[in-house]
Amino acid sequence: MERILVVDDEVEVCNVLKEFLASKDYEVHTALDGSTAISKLKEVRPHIVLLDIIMPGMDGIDVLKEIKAVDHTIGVIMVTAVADHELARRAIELGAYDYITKPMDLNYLETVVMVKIIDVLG
Amino acid sequence: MDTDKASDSSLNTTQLKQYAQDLAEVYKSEREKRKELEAAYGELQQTKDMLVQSEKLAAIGRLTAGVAHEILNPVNIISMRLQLLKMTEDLSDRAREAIRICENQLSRIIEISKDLGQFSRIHEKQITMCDLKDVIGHVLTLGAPQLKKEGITIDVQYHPGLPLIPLDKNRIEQVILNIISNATAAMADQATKVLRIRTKPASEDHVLIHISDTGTGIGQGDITTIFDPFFTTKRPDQGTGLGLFISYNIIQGHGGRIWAENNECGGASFFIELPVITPVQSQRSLEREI
Repeated sequence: MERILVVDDEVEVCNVLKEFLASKDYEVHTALDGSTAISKLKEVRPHIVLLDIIMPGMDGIDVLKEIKAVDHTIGVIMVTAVADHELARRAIELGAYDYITKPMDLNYLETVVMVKIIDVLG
Repeated sequence: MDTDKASDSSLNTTQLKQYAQDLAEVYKSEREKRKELEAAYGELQQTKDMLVQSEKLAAIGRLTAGVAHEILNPVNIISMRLQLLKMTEDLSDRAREAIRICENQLSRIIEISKDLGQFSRIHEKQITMCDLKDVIGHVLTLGAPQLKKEGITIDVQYHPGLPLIPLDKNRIEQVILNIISNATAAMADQATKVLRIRTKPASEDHVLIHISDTGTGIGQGDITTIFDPFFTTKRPDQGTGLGLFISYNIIQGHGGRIWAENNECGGASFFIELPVITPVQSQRSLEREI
Protein backbone atom coordinates (compact mmCIF):
# COMPACT_ATOMS: atom_id res chain seq x y z
CA MET A 1 0.00 0.00 0.00
CA GLU A 2 1.37 3.45 -0.99
CA ARG A 3 2.16 5.72 1.92
CA ILE A 4 1.36 9.41 2.24
CA LEU A 5 2.49 11.79 4.97
CA VAL A 6 0.25 14.81 5.48
CA VAL A 7 1.97 17.78 7.16
CA ASP A 8 -0.26 20.63 8.31
CA ASP A 9 -0.51 22.58 11.57
CA GLU A 10 -4.33 22.43 11.34
CA VAL A 11 -5.61 19.23 12.94
CA GLU A 12 -8.82 19.35 10.93
CA VAL A 13 -6.91 19.53 7.64
CA CYS A 14 -4.93 16.44 8.63
CA ASN A 15 -8.14 14.66 9.64
CA VAL A 16 -10.09 15.38 6.48
CA LEU A 17 -7.16 14.54 4.17
CA LYS A 18 -6.52 11.34 6.09
CA GLU A 19 -10.18 10.34 5.77
CA PHE A 20 -10.27 11.12 2.04
CA LEU A 21 -6.96 9.53 1.07
CA ALA A 22 -7.60 6.46 3.24
CA SER A 23 -10.90 6.00 1.37
CA LYS A 24 -8.76 5.83 -1.80
CA ASP A 25 -6.71 3.01 -0.27
CA TYR A 26 -3.60 4.93 0.72
CA GLU A 27 -1.83 4.46 4.04
CA VAL A 28 -1.96 7.93 5.57
CA HIS A 29 0.18 9.39 8.35
CA THR A 30 0.01 12.92 9.72
CA ALA A 31 2.32 15.44 11.35
CA LEU A 32 1.31 18.78 12.87
CA ASP A 33 4.69 20.48 12.42
CA GLY A 34 7.88 20.35 10.42
CA SER A 35 10.18 18.73 12.93
CA THR A 36 7.65 15.92 13.65
CA ALA A 37 7.39 15.40 9.89
CA ILE A 38 11.19 15.05 9.55
CA SER A 39 11.37 12.61 12.43
CA LYS A 40 8.57 10.51 10.87
CA LEU A 41 10.29 10.24 7.48
CA LYS A 42 12.46 7.21 8.36
CA GLU A 43 9.66 5.50 10.25
CA VAL A 44 6.92 6.02 7.62
CA ARG A 45 9.06 6.08 4.44
CA PRO A 46 6.32 7.92 2.51
CA HIS A 47 6.01 7.86 -1.27
CA ILE A 48 4.31 11.25 -1.13
CA VAL A 49 4.38 14.14 1.35
CA LEU A 50 1.55 16.69 1.29
CA LEU A 51 3.19 19.74 2.80
CA ASP A 52 1.64 23.03 3.88
CA ILE A 53 3.95 25.95 3.07
CA ILE A 54 2.95 28.29 5.88
CA MET A 55 3.48 26.69 9.29
CA PRO A 56 4.69 28.10 12.57
CA GLY A 57 8.26 27.16 13.49
CA MET A 58 9.90 25.24 10.65
CA ASP A 59 8.05 26.33 7.51
CA GLY A 60 7.23 24.21 4.48
CA ILE A 61 10.26 25.36 2.48
CA ASP A 62 12.69 24.31 5.26
CA VAL A 63 10.90 20.97 5.64
CA LEU A 64 11.08 20.45 1.86
CA LYS A 65 14.87 20.97 1.91
CA GLU A 66 15.23 18.44 4.75
CA ILE A 67 13.02 15.87 2.98
CA LYS A 68 15.03 16.22 -0.23
CA ALA A 69 18.25 15.82 1.76
CA VAL A 70 16.95 12.59 3.35
CA ASP A 71 15.45 11.07 0.18
CA HIS A 72 15.17 13.02 -3.05
CA THR A 73 12.80 10.44 -4.59
CA ILE A 74 9.96 11.33 -2.22
CA GLY A 75 7.33 13.27 -4.13
CA VAL A 76 6.52 16.46 -2.26
CA ILE A 77 3.28 18.27 -3.08
CA MET A 78 3.12 21.72 -1.55
CA VAL A 79 -0.16 23.19 -0.31
CA THR A 80 -0.44 26.94 -0.45
CA ALA A 81 -2.88 29.80 -0.06
CA VAL A 82 -3.77 31.62 -3.26
CA ALA A 83 -1.50 34.57 -2.49
CA ASP A 84 1.62 32.44 -2.14
CA HIS A 85 2.33 31.65 -5.80
CA GLU A 86 5.84 33.11 -5.60
CA LEU A 87 6.64 30.87 -2.65
CA ALA A 88 5.18 27.87 -4.46
CA ARG A 89 7.37 28.55 -7.52
CA ARG A 90 10.39 28.66 -5.24
CA ALA A 91 9.34 25.29 -3.81
CA ILE A 92 9.23 23.81 -7.31
CA GLU A 93 12.76 25.13 -7.93
CA LEU A 94 13.82 23.36 -4.72
CA GLY A 95 12.49 20.03 -5.96
CA ALA A 96 8.79 19.95 -5.03
CA TYR A 97 6.77 17.89 -7.49
CA ASP A 98 3.75 20.17 -7.64
CA TYR A 99 1.69 22.58 -5.60
CA ILE A 100 -2.00 22.89 -5.02
CA THR A 101 -3.86 25.90 -3.75
CA LYS A 102 -6.40 26.30 -0.98
CA PRO A 103 -9.23 25.57 -0.91
CA MET A 104 -8.20 22.15 -2.13
CA ASP A 105 -10.16 20.33 -4.80
CA LEU A 106 -10.12 16.73 -3.58
CA ASN A 107 -10.60 15.25 -7.07
CA TYR A 108 -7.63 17.25 -8.35
CA LEU A 109 -5.59 16.21 -5.31
CA GLU A 110 -6.39 12.54 -6.00
CA THR A 111 -5.21 12.91 -9.61
CA VAL A 112 -1.95 14.66 -8.67
CA VAL A 113 -1.19 12.04 -6.00
CA MET A 114 -2.00 9.17 -8.36
CA VAL A 115 0.21 10.52 -11.16
CA LYS A 116 3.14 11.03 -8.78
CA ILE A 117 2.70 7.56 -7.24
CA ILE A 118 2.84 6.00 -10.72
CA ASP A 119 5.96 8.07 -11.38
CA VAL A 120 7.64 7.07 -8.08
CA LEU A 121 6.84 3.38 -8.44
CA GLY A 122 7.99 3.44 -12.05
CA MET B 1 -7.85 133.66 4.94
CA ASP B 2 -10.58 132.20 2.84
CA THR B 3 -7.99 131.28 0.24
CA ASP B 4 -5.92 129.53 2.92
CA LYS B 5 -8.97 127.64 4.11
CA ALA B 6 -9.82 126.67 0.58
CA SER B 7 -6.22 125.57 0.03
CA ASP B 8 -6.27 123.51 3.28
CA SER B 9 -9.57 121.98 2.36
CA SER B 10 -8.33 121.17 -1.18
CA LEU B 11 -5.15 119.66 0.26
CA ASN B 12 -7.19 117.58 2.71
CA THR B 13 -9.43 116.30 -0.06
CA THR B 14 -6.41 115.35 -2.19
CA GLN B 15 -4.82 113.69 0.80
CA LEU B 16 -8.01 111.89 1.61
CA LYS B 17 -8.32 110.69 -1.99
CA GLN B 18 -4.74 109.51 -1.83
CA TYR B 19 -5.38 107.76 1.49
CA ALA B 20 -8.47 106.15 0.07
CA GLN B 21 -6.53 105.05 -2.99
CA ASP B 22 -3.70 103.70 -0.83
CA LEU B 23 -6.20 101.94 1.39
CA ALA B 24 -7.89 100.41 -1.65
CA GLU B 25 -4.48 99.20 -2.90
CA VAL B 26 -3.64 97.75 0.51
CA TYR B 27 -7.08 96.12 0.71
CA LYS B 28 -6.69 94.70 -2.81
CA SER B 29 -3.22 93.43 -2.04
CA GLU B 30 -4.41 91.92 1.25
CA ARG B 31 -7.34 90.30 -0.50
CA GLU B 32 -5.01 88.75 -3.10
CA LYS B 33 -2.65 87.56 -0.39
CA ARG B 34 -5.58 86.10 1.49
CA LYS B 35 -6.74 84.31 -1.66
CA GLU B 36 -3.22 82.94 -2.16
CA LEU B 37 -3.09 81.84 1.47
CA GLU B 38 -6.50 80.20 1.19
CA ALA B 39 -5.40 78.38 -1.98
CA ALA B 40 -2.16 77.24 -0.31
CA TYR B 41 -4.12 76.14 2.77
CA GLY B 42 -6.56 74.26 0.53
CA GLU B 43 -3.68 72.50 -1.22
CA LEU B 44 -2.06 71.64 2.12
CA GLN B 45 -5.37 70.33 3.43
CA GLN B 46 -5.78 68.24 0.27
CA THR B 47 -2.24 66.85 0.60
CA LYS B 48 -2.87 66.11 4.27
CA ASP B 49 -6.14 64.33 3.43
CA MET B 50 -4.37 62.28 0.75
CA LEU B 51 -1.57 61.34 3.16
CA VAL B 52 -4.04 60.36 5.86
CA GLN B 53 -6.02 58.37 3.32
CA SER B 54 -2.85 56.76 1.98
CA GLU B 55 -1.70 55.70 5.47
CA LYS B 56 -5.18 54.54 6.43
CA LEU B 57 -5.57 52.44 3.28
CA ALA B 58 -2.09 50.96 3.62
CA ALA B 59 -2.93 49.87 7.18
CA ILE B 60 -6.30 48.49 6.10
CA GLY B 61 -4.56 46.73 3.21
CA ARG B 62 -2.10 44.95 5.48
CA LEU B 63 -4.87 43.96 7.86
CA THR B 64 -7.28 42.71 5.21
CA ALA B 65 -4.61 40.72 3.37
CA GLY B 66 -3.73 39.02 6.65
CA VAL B 67 -7.38 38.33 7.43
CA ALA B 68 -7.99 37.07 3.87
CA HIS B 69 -5.09 34.65 4.24
CA GLU B 70 -6.29 33.39 7.61
CA ILE B 71 -9.87 32.97 6.39
CA LEU B 72 -8.68 30.56 3.72
CA ASN B 73 -7.67 27.97 6.31
CA PRO B 74 -11.13 27.39 7.82
CA VAL B 75 -12.70 27.82 4.38
CA ASN B 76 -10.39 25.08 3.11
CA ILE B 77 -11.54 22.72 5.86
CA ILE B 78 -15.24 23.46 5.32
CA SER B 79 -14.83 23.08 1.56
CA MET B 80 -13.09 19.69 1.89
CA ARG B 81 -15.69 18.45 4.39
CA LEU B 82 -18.47 19.42 1.97
CA GLN B 83 -16.68 17.64 -0.88
CA LEU B 84 -16.37 14.50 1.27
CA LEU B 85 -20.03 14.74 2.24
CA LYS B 86 -21.02 15.05 -1.40
CA MET B 87 -19.21 11.78 -2.15
CA THR B 88 -21.61 9.97 0.20
CA GLU B 89 -23.93 7.89 -1.96
CA ASP B 90 -27.15 7.80 0.06
CA LEU B 91 -27.63 11.57 0.45
CA SER B 92 -31.16 12.92 0.17
CA ASP B 93 -31.97 15.54 -2.48
CA ARG B 94 -32.52 18.06 0.29
CA ALA B 95 -29.07 17.44 1.72
CA ARG B 96 -27.48 17.71 -1.75
CA GLU B 97 -29.26 21.02 -2.30
CA ALA B 98 -28.01 22.28 1.08
CA ILE B 99 -24.44 21.30 0.15
CA ARG B 100 -24.79 23.09 -3.20
CA ILE B 101 -25.91 26.28 -1.44
CA CYS B 102 -23.07 26.03 1.08
CA GLU B 103 -20.55 25.56 -1.73
CA ASN B 104 -21.90 28.61 -3.58
CA GLN B 105 -21.60 30.74 -0.45
CA LEU B 106 -18.09 29.42 0.15
CA SER B 107 -17.20 30.49 -3.39
CA ARG B 108 -18.31 34.02 -2.49
CA ILE B 109 -16.01 34.02 0.54
CA ILE B 110 -13.15 32.69 -1.58
CA GLU B 111 -13.66 35.39 -4.21
CA ILE B 112 -13.63 38.13 -1.55
CA SER B 113 -10.51 36.62 0.04
CA LYS B 114 -8.76 36.53 -3.33
CA ASP B 115 -9.70 40.16 -3.99
CA LEU B 116 -8.47 41.25 -0.58
CA GLY B 117 -5.21 39.40 -1.05
CA GLN B 118 -4.54 41.14 -4.36
CA PHE B 119 -3.16 44.30 -2.84
CA SER B 120 0.09 42.46 -2.09
CA ARG B 121 3.19 44.29 -3.29
CA ILE B 122 4.08 44.48 -6.95
CA HIS B 123 6.90 42.06 -7.75
CA GLU B 124 9.85 43.54 -9.59
CA LYS B 125 9.99 40.62 -12.02
CA GLN B 126 6.47 41.38 -13.25
CA ILE B 127 7.44 44.92 -14.18
CA THR B 128 8.10 45.61 -17.86
CA MET B 129 8.52 48.81 -19.86
CA CYS B 130 5.11 49.54 -21.37
CA ASP B 131 3.51 51.98 -23.75
CA LEU B 132 0.36 53.37 -22.08
CA LYS B 133 -1.29 53.44 -25.50
CA ASP B 134 -0.96 49.64 -25.75
CA VAL B 135 -2.12 49.06 -22.15
CA ILE B 136 -5.23 51.25 -22.48
CA GLY B 137 -5.85 49.99 -26.01
CA HIS B 138 -5.86 46.40 -24.81
CA VAL B 139 -8.40 47.17 -22.08
CA LEU B 140 -10.64 49.01 -24.56
CA THR B 141 -10.46 46.08 -26.98
CA LEU B 142 -11.52 43.73 -24.19
CA GLY B 143 -14.32 46.04 -23.07
CA ALA B 144 -15.46 47.13 -26.55
CA PRO B 145 -18.41 44.69 -26.91
CA GLN B 146 -19.86 45.72 -23.53
CA LEU B 147 -19.31 49.45 -24.13
CA LYS B 148 -20.95 49.16 -27.56
CA LYS B 149 -23.88 47.24 -26.08
CA GLU B 150 -24.36 50.00 -23.49
CA GLY B 151 -24.28 52.69 -26.21
CA ILE B 152 -21.18 54.37 -24.79
CA THR B 153 -19.08 56.64 -27.02
CA ILE B 154 -15.35 56.27 -26.46
CA ASP B 155 -13.18 59.34 -26.89
CA VAL B 156 -9.49 58.54 -26.48
CA GLN B 157 -6.52 60.80 -27.05
CA TYR B 158 -2.99 59.67 -26.35
CA HIS B 159 -0.37 62.36 -25.83
CA PRO B 160 2.29 61.83 -28.50
CA GLY B 161 5.82 61.01 -27.43
CA LEU B 162 5.13 59.78 -23.89
CA PRO B 163 7.98 57.61 -22.62
CA LEU B 164 7.63 53.89 -21.96
CA ILE B 165 6.90 53.39 -18.26
CA PRO B 166 7.62 50.47 -15.92
CA LEU B 167 4.37 48.65 -15.14
CA ASP B 168 2.94 45.37 -14.03
CA LYS B 169 0.82 45.43 -17.19
CA ASN B 170 -1.88 43.03 -15.98
CA ARG B 171 -2.38 44.95 -12.73
CA ILE B 172 -2.63 48.35 -14.45
CA GLU B 173 -5.07 46.88 -16.97
CA GLN B 174 -7.10 45.64 -14.01
CA VAL B 175 -7.22 49.19 -12.59
CA ILE B 176 -8.33 50.75 -15.89
CA LEU B 177 -10.88 48.00 -16.48
CA ASN B 178 -12.27 48.59 -13.01
CA ILE B 179 -12.67 52.34 -13.55
CA ILE B 180 -14.30 51.76 -16.94
CA SER B 181 -16.64 49.17 -15.42
CA ASN B 182 -17.70 51.65 -12.71
CA ALA B 183 -18.14 54.37 -15.35
CA THR B 184 -20.34 52.04 -17.41
CA ALA B 185 -22.57 51.36 -14.41
CA ALA B 186 -22.74 55.09 -13.54
CA MET B 187 -23.85 55.97 -17.10
CA ALA B 188 -26.50 53.24 -17.35
CA ASP B 189 -29.48 55.61 -17.12
CA GLN B 190 -27.87 58.72 -18.63
CA ALA B 191 -28.96 60.23 -21.96
CA THR B 192 -25.37 61.12 -22.90
CA LYS B 193 -22.84 58.36 -22.44
CA VAL B 194 -19.26 59.37 -23.14
CA LEU B 195 -16.13 57.74 -21.78
CA ARG B 196 -13.17 60.08 -22.23
CA ILE B 197 -9.58 58.93 -21.79
CA ARG B 198 -6.51 61.15 -22.02
CA THR B 199 -2.84 60.60 -21.35
CA LYS B 200 -0.33 63.40 -20.82
CA PRO B 201 2.89 64.20 -18.99
CA ALA B 202 2.16 65.19 -15.38
CA SER B 203 5.67 66.43 -14.64
CA GLU B 204 9.22 65.68 -15.74
CA ASP B 205 9.10 62.22 -14.22
CA HIS B 206 5.39 61.35 -14.07
CA VAL B 207 2.66 60.64 -16.58
CA LEU B 208 -1.06 61.05 -16.06
CA ILE B 209 -4.02 58.97 -17.20
CA HIS B 210 -7.31 60.84 -16.98
CA ILE B 211 -10.53 58.83 -17.32
CA SER B 212 -13.83 60.69 -17.13
CA ASP B 213 -17.44 59.75 -17.69
CA THR B 214 -20.82 61.44 -18.04
CA GLY B 215 -22.40 59.37 -15.29
CA THR B 216 -24.05 60.44 -12.07
CA GLY B 217 -20.81 61.53 -10.40
CA ILE B 218 -19.55 60.82 -6.89
CA GLY B 219 -21.82 61.70 -3.98
CA GLN B 220 -20.94 64.53 -1.60
CA GLY B 221 -18.72 63.15 1.13
CA ASP B 222 -17.85 60.01 -0.84
CA ILE B 223 -14.76 61.48 -2.54
CA THR B 224 -12.59 60.57 0.44
CA THR B 225 -14.13 57.15 1.04
CA ILE B 226 -14.58 55.67 -2.43
CA PHE B 227 -11.20 53.93 -2.17
CA ASP B 228 -12.09 52.31 1.16
CA PRO B 229 -12.64 48.55 1.12
CA PHE B 230 -16.29 47.50 0.74
CA PHE B 231 -17.36 51.00 -0.36
CA THR B 232 -20.04 50.50 -2.98
CA THR B 233 -23.15 52.15 -4.32
CA LYS B 234 -24.14 48.96 -6.12
CA ARG B 235 -26.37 46.12 -4.94
CA PRO B 236 -24.58 43.27 -3.08
CA ASP B 237 -24.91 40.94 -6.06
CA GLN B 238 -23.30 43.49 -8.40
CA GLY B 239 -19.92 43.74 -6.73
CA THR B 240 -17.98 43.38 -3.51
CA GLY B 241 -16.94 47.04 -3.24
CA LEU B 242 -13.28 46.10 -3.44
CA GLY B 243 -12.48 47.24 -6.97
CA LEU B 244 -11.27 50.76 -6.18
CA PHE B 245 -9.54 49.62 -3.00
CA ILE B 246 -7.56 47.09 -5.05
CA SER B 247 -6.91 49.74 -7.72
CA TYR B 248 -5.63 52.16 -5.09
CA ASN B 249 -3.20 49.57 -3.74
CA ILE B 250 -1.99 48.58 -7.21
CA ILE B 251 -1.21 52.21 -8.07
CA GLN B 252 0.48 52.73 -4.68
CA GLY B 253 2.51 49.57 -5.40
CA HIS B 254 3.78 51.28 -8.55
CA GLY B 255 4.80 54.36 -6.57
CA GLY B 256 1.96 56.35 -8.15
CA ARG B 257 -1.19 58.19 -7.05
CA ILE B 258 -4.86 57.78 -7.89
CA TRP B 259 -7.63 60.20 -7.01
CA ALA B 260 -11.13 61.11 -8.10
CA GLU B 261 -13.10 64.29 -8.70
CA ASN B 262 -16.46 65.23 -10.10
CA ASN B 263 -16.26 66.84 -13.53
CA GLU B 264 -18.08 69.65 -15.31
CA CYS B 265 -20.37 67.13 -17.10
CA GLY B 266 -21.68 65.95 -13.72
CA GLY B 267 -19.80 62.67 -14.02
CA ALA B 268 -16.71 61.32 -12.30
CA SER B 269 -13.08 61.79 -13.30
CA PHE B 270 -10.30 59.49 -12.19
CA PHE B 271 -6.67 60.52 -12.33
CA ILE B 272 -3.80 58.05 -12.26
CA GLU B 273 -0.31 59.47 -11.93
CA LEU B 274 2.51 57.02 -12.56
CA PRO B 275 6.27 57.48 -12.24
CA VAL B 276 8.44 57.14 -15.33
CA ILE B 277 10.95 55.20 -13.23
CA THR B 278 10.01 52.68 -10.54
CA PRO B 279 10.68 53.42 -6.87
CA VAL B 280 13.15 50.49 -6.98
CA GLN B 281 15.03 51.99 -9.95
CA SER B 282 14.89 55.39 -8.31
CA GLN B 283 16.36 53.98 -5.08
CA ARG B 284 19.11 52.22 -7.04
CA SER B 285 20.14 55.32 -8.94
CA LEU B 286 20.08 57.24 -5.65
CA GLU B 287 22.38 54.63 -4.10
CA ARG B 288 24.67 54.89 -7.11
CA GLU B 289 24.77 58.67 -6.74
CA ILE B 290 25.63 58.32 -3.05
